[in-house]
Amino acid sequence: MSAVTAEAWRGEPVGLAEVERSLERQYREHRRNGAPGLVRTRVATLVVVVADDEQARRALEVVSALPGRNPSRCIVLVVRPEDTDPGVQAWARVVRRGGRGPGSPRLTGGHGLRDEVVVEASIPRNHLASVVLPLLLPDIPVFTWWPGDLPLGTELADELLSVTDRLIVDSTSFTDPIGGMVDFTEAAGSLPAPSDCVWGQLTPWRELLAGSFDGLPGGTAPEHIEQVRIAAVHPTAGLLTAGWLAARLGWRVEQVEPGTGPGRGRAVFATPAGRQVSVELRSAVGSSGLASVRLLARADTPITILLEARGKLLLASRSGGHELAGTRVGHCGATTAQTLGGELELFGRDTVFEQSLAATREWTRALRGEGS
Amino acid sequence: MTTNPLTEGERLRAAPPPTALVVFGGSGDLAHRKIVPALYNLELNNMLPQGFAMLGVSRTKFTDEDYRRDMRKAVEEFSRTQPVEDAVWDAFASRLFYEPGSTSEPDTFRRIGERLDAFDEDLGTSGNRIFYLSTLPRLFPEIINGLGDARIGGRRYRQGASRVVVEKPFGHDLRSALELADLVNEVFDERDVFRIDHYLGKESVQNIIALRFANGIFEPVWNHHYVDHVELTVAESIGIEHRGAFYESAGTIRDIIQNHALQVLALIAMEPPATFEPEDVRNEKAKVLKAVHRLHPEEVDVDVVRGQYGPGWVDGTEVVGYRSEQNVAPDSVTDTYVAARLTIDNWRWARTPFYLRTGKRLPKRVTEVAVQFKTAPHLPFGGEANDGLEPNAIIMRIQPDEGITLKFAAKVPGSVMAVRSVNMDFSYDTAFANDLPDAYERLLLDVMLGDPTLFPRRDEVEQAWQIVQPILDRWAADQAGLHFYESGTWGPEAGEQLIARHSPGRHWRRP
Repeated sequence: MSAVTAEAWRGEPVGLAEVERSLERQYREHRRNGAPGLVRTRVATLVVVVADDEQARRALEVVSALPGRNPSRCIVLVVRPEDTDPGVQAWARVVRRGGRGPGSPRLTGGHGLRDEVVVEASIPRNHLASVVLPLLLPDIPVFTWWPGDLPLGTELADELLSVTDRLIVDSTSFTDPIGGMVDFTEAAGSLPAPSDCVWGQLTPWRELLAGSFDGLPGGTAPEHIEQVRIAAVHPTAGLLTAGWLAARLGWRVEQVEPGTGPGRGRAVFATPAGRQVSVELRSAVGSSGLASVRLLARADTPITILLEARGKLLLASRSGGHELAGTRVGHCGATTAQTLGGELELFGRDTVFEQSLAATREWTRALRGEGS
Repeated sequence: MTTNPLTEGERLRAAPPPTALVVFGGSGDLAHRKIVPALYNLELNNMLPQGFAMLGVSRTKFTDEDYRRDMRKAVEEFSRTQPVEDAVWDAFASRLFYEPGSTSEPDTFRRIGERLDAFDEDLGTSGNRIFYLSTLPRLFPEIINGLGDARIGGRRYRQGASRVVVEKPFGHDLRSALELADLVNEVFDERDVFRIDHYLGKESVQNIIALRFANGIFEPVWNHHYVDHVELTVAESIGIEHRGAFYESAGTIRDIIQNHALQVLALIAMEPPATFEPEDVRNEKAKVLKAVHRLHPEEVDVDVVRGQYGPGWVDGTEVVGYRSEQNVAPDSVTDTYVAARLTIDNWRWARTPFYLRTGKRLPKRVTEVAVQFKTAPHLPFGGEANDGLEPNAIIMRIQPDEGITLKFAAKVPGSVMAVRSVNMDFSYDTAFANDLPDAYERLLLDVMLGDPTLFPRRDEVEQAWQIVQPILDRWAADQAGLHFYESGTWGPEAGEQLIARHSPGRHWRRP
């Protein structure tokens, strides 16, 4: 048994063909123990693909902390190097789902059971689907969370994505975030409903940014943005924020000036009205994907909109021209489990994400040194 | 107003436009228990617009700061999320204001207008206004007229959207409901009138629409060919608590049947709407309510049972009878229990009875709809094999355990052929998180968004009163026929007889 499963996560060691029987038996034990409301309502299967023990350990921690609603079954596939003596080992357990994820005081309960299966496989890559397919819950969506680098174009990726309805990556864990982002952007159109955990972490930023244009004097609107400064903890978070603004507002890249260091630099966009918008990316430290976003917009008088992360809180304020009261507060400190839980609530393609990703293409390629 | 392109996208919840909300009865019970906690939770989830202000209006002599302190306590006591987050509360409280005053004085409305203008200027509320009538119904006329006369709301106000939210009761009878509707419509266009029936804000009530119209397998059997009857139960274990004076003038029929029960019945029985656009849904609800058979006086005597709880035991505690409650006449004939058999005169539901049952001091708090199907036309198993077999049923549990149960027959394992009824339960709690928003959160958001789908339209309310009015008239003419029941039981024996009368063996489901 791997060190991972022996220490942090205790499942019953079983042969692959015995997984369902083991889970069923464990269900019956839970029922015998009198746990209330143990009804199996199946919503989704989550497959997590990891490459080593450390990734597996981290993935199992996240899975254990997932908010209560999803998924009904988690399969952690540990892809071992191909062996001259190929083999598959499996462990299975049934756990009570908590309704409250860590750091999520607003979830108030929820119960039910979740299957968790760990499979270690050292078989040829082009047969990995044969390991996963029998374990998928019938007829409900399959989410694949692929922490780490996504080996696009390999047999491994092709094989596993062929049984996936929605793919979730985490661009902050790419070995080369910018390079990985370029490849992910190029492939996105042919991937099954792709998403990035970073994008989910941007949701409160986007909500507060969008709302900050409410009732501004002089009818100041997003179309009046002239300057954007993004201080990003993770470069891909900054790029996706810039891409989102560009995609939603119809901006077109005119010029890219790479800065020193990954994810730094400046780009000039042209708006549909023919004006220019300067977008600057800086690197910052912090616990969220972004540290701050500052927008300057001008209809008649200049208005500054500032969003800043302060710990787990996100503060939005507006100033300039007329004094504008009302700092808004949001939350930006979602854990990986909470972010992943949010991703599992979406079943279709997120077209705004894909458009935002596409809008970063020229900038990310320039940052990778491919020219704009 | 142009659309903000940044608000579009799958993950971003529909952001309401800038709005000022004026709550008449701002220091009252509903503001404490529901309205302000709901707004706080909307703030917590970033669902209030950036340009937002709430102004509480009541006679109590509060300052803004007094009001904020009072409401903080209310949120600490009644918010579904705890503990209250200081930073979120501070941001919300900075947009929370109070104006003391009597709604009988025109100057109160002038001052409200000044505050609203200041909100537009200082907080960017952009001239959009919502007026929430959370007061005693007798104050509605002076508030509505005050708003219109001061030109701070209604169709004579043109600086932005202007909506009015009316809490039930929507009138005391058909005549007063029409008068109220006329009064409101004199000042506000019907599209700007939002009548709150909080049942429609419940996830599980909205799920009735999803169950019926997002699934292909139920609609083909959702008619008189396959459905034997429908049971709607709205049961409460509590008594009337401190609402004696209100209950004496209302009774269960006005408190539950006229609004909640008939709204749920409409969702169960309506035809599929062409789209989920507000008017399409409301047209179908109004249409089916219009098709509900109006009872003749003699039909009221046999198809409606009214009851009143006597003393008894509920949840292991001894409780007094209704007539011994505070502010209740010792010889009161007010109904605390109603069971009714209604029919719907249309092609879908011809001859299919809809049994409604609601009451106080019943054994448990439960709201559910049970669609009971006809028995299989032939059971080939013979004699004893069928013992314990009941007809199929779909039960939609609205509260407290939101979910759906399907009852069907299964073979009992063993060497002999025996079949039994089994229940297959779907529970929201096991499929999704139990983090359901409060109905008021959803409904307040919809008012700000201007989406009236979940609010009964004037004609729906009138149709509901037309269904109830013959019963009220008959009861007014004949005070006899009140059935007493022991607290903690499922109502008077007459209620059981009602459901069995047309089909011996038919009985109320035990929720």
